[in-house]
Amino acid sequence: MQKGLILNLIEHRNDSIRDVSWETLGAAKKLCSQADLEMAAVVLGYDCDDLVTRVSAHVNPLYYLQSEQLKYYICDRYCIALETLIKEVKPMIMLLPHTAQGMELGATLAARLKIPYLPDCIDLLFREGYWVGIREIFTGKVKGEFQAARSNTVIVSLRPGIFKSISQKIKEKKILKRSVDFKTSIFLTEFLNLVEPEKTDIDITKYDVIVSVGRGIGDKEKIPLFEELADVLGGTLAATRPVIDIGWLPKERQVGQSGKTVKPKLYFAFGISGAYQHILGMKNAHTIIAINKDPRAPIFNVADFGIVGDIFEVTKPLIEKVKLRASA
Amino acid sequence: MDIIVCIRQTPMLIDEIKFTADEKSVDAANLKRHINEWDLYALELALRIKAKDGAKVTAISVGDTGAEEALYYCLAAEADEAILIEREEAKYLDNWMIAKLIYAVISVRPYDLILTGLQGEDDGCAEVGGILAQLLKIPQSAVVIEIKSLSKDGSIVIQRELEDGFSDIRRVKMPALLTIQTGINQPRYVSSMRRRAIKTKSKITRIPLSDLSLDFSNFHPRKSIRRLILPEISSSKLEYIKGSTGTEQAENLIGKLTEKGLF
Amino acid sequence: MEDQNIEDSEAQILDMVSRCRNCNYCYSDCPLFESTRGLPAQGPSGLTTAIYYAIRWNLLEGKDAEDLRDLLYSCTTCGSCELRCKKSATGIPIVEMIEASRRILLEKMIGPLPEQVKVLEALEMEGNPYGEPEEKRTNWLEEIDENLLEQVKVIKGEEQVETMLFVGCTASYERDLLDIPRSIMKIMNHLDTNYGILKQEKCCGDPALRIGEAGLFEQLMEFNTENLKNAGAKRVVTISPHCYNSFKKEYHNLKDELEIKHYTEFFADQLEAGNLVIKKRLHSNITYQDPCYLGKKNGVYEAPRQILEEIAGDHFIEMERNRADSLCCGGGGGRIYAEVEEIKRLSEIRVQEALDVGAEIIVTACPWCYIQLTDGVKTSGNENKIEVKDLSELLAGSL
Repeated sequence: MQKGLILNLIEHRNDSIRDVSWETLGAAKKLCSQADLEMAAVVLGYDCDDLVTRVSAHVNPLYYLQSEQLKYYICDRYCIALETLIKEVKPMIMLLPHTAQGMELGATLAARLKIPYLPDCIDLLFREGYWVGIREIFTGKVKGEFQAARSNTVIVSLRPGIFKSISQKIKEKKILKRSVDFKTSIFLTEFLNLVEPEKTDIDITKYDVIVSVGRGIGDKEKIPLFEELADVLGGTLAATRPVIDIGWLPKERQVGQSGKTVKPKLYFAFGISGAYQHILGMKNAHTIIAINKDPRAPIFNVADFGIVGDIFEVTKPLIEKVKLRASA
Repeated sequence: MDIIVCIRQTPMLIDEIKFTADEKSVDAANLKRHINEWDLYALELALRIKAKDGAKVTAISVGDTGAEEALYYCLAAEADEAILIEREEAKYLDNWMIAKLIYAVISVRPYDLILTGLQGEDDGCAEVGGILAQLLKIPQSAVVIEIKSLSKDGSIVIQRELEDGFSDIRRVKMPALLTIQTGINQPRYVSSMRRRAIKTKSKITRIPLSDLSLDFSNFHPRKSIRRLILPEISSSKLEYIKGSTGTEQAENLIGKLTEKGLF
Repeated sequence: MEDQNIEDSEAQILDMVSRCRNCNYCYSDCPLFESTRGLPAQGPSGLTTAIYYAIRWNLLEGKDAEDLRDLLYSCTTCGSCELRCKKSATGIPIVEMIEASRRILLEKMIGPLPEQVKVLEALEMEGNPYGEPEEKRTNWLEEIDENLLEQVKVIKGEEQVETMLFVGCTASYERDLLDIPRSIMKIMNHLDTNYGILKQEKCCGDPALRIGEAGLFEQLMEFNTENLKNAGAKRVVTISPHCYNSFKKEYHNLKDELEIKHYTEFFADQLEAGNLVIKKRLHSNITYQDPCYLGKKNGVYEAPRQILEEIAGDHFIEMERNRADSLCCGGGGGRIYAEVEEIKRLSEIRVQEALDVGAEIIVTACPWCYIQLTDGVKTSGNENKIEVKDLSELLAGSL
């Protein structure tokens, strides 16, 4: 009997394979070993043979859907191309990363194919005949088991930064090229250009010590206190997205999925609850110190040291003590 | 120009988290609710387009009676019309069903732009917009952070936020659906007097499910919640710093960091 | 909000501000003018002129309105200009006009300043500007010694008490300032006074009213008035001069039904009556920051001084600008929640003035003056030279 198939969408941009794609493949590989399934992957693109070759070293078969219309990712074109492939290979699961692309594509593709969609999963299991995705809700304060309705194919998007990337190479490569017929399609969305990140004065990624603040600090007037801590530690100030959105600090200080990724020696997280978009940007710091009055704040899941308490009652003496040491 | 904004309320988790008896949802009976943060940005965007170029802004929500507050808010903020698709809070509707309900109402109305917040504060699924666009067979762009231009030829140039500080620019032909990211603008404040006065000035159009031409026999969730869990903080590397005062905790933290040679 | 009401308000404001003679006497007393670039717009009659033309030329929409908003919301509402205009010119209620204009801007959804939006939402949801849970408002009592709690009745329902201590949001939620309510409790304990604290206390509403949210202010006013009355209160003592001002001047007729006192007034009365005796005198040089909302707005200048003179005698030195000439700390008028242009920080100017008269301690009687001046001491690098203390702390320590 044919084994169930996990089809992985490879996300790429600017001729490079995004890290999340390797994570998705890694997740698929783990699932295959646990549940007696097979895996395949698909690259949609144009003139990207190098990229395709690289991916084919890790997964067999690799479908390469090639068309000039697929040069840049656009939802409607991907949907048309993937629909054809899915009809051909009939995967049990279609896996994709939950990125800006995934957020756009997953729900639309599932609706187009009239199949279930489990978005932003941190784990995926098969229980009593159903695919169940584990998801975080309320910014991680609650976890839920989300069960997909029974269907021949289910689309699942995986949260970035959770799954271990695939590493093993395979012996036998198999690249299956498919051309896509877009003849009768009218495209209403046109890619114009990619915008690179702005160059800014402050580059927080260059600092060994980062003092980062979240909305938990209460108001803008409290920022100088943390700025002082950053100063005495010889580091710099950073913040989560909500602090940037409300204008307390400039965008160049944002740590997170849509901001900067930092890897300092010390990362202090004050009043940061730990939404995953933020964690993605700092989880690889050498030592993470989280201070939050909420013992259930998800930030503690990635911290090396945790203080459950009032952030101001800790920060003030911390500044004094560091100053004392510095002058000693 | 006709703009439809899809909004909803989310419960605000402050402290205690309690589940319902079946463990399938958070017990929201004692929780305060407010308009989903992302939806506020979408609403503000619609209202600014209206102020600048002229448009009719319609707010729509699938909700129970509590959702009226959210729709009155939209009307007080100067939306032109507000529609409530009435649901019973107790009956579970997944995002596909919610999108389908909205589709049933707006598919027979004129629209150039449909705006939704990128995702819900509570469930973070980022789905309804995408499903709705597919049902309506219109182009969708998600994670929009800026409208570059709206031209008379019926196209809109938008900027989408990608990862690591990247973004892309697209031209989309209207009618189109955009899901809006936070930070695109500064949502206005609607005073309590405005919110109170609007209730005497404007009405919300209420649509019961029975009024919708939908085949309800074929209306089932495509995903459901088996159960909810309160996660424990699970980190093998986490060490809590002891101390009964902030000063003690600060002291002990420095001690630990020094021990590890990080100071 | 009926558009009609906005028109009426605009007409009223126009009427008032058109009486400005542009004598500009008000500039010399204005803290905004002193702390900014010194542009005419950044002073009292500059603001009223801006309002005048904004209404006349219909500029209360769009980008112009945002500029006006930024200008109007940088006023501290200290009232120095009103005092000056009354004394030397036509007596225009300038601050009232500025606040009325803020109300219009807020109703038109142009105001308030973006950072203040969360403050208003927090006030509406949780009854305090910090967004802290309302159930936790009286948690600070858990950090007070048992023996100090003997006199206190926490009013949850039907309890009756004659004297209420209205704690206020800052003293309730800012643990940094815990010594202030603690000291007041010590003094009450010393006086053997029985008093109550509302379990369900909400913000007095001052931030809402100053920012222009009159509707929200009314909701808070109704809530607090009902609770105070239900407790059978005959007298309410406030910690913050802002709560004091709200109750005395802005709560409809509350002053006719209850005695309203700032804690300095209350304790000064006790001092005069001989119930409070100062045992330990202070030998450090101290000076006193008149809170605008206690002094300029309500004329309470002497009560705090009676207490401080008893405690410090000759060591109490006045700053050059004192009483009605006192310099605003910059925290009022909703400014404490937002970033406003300050070329020279008001708090630092004031700290220097205190240093100039040789003071080692600046005494405050307002939580916001306390916060602002403490900050000013730090940012000006004068931590070794001067410290900030609340009057209640000094009084409690002298008994």
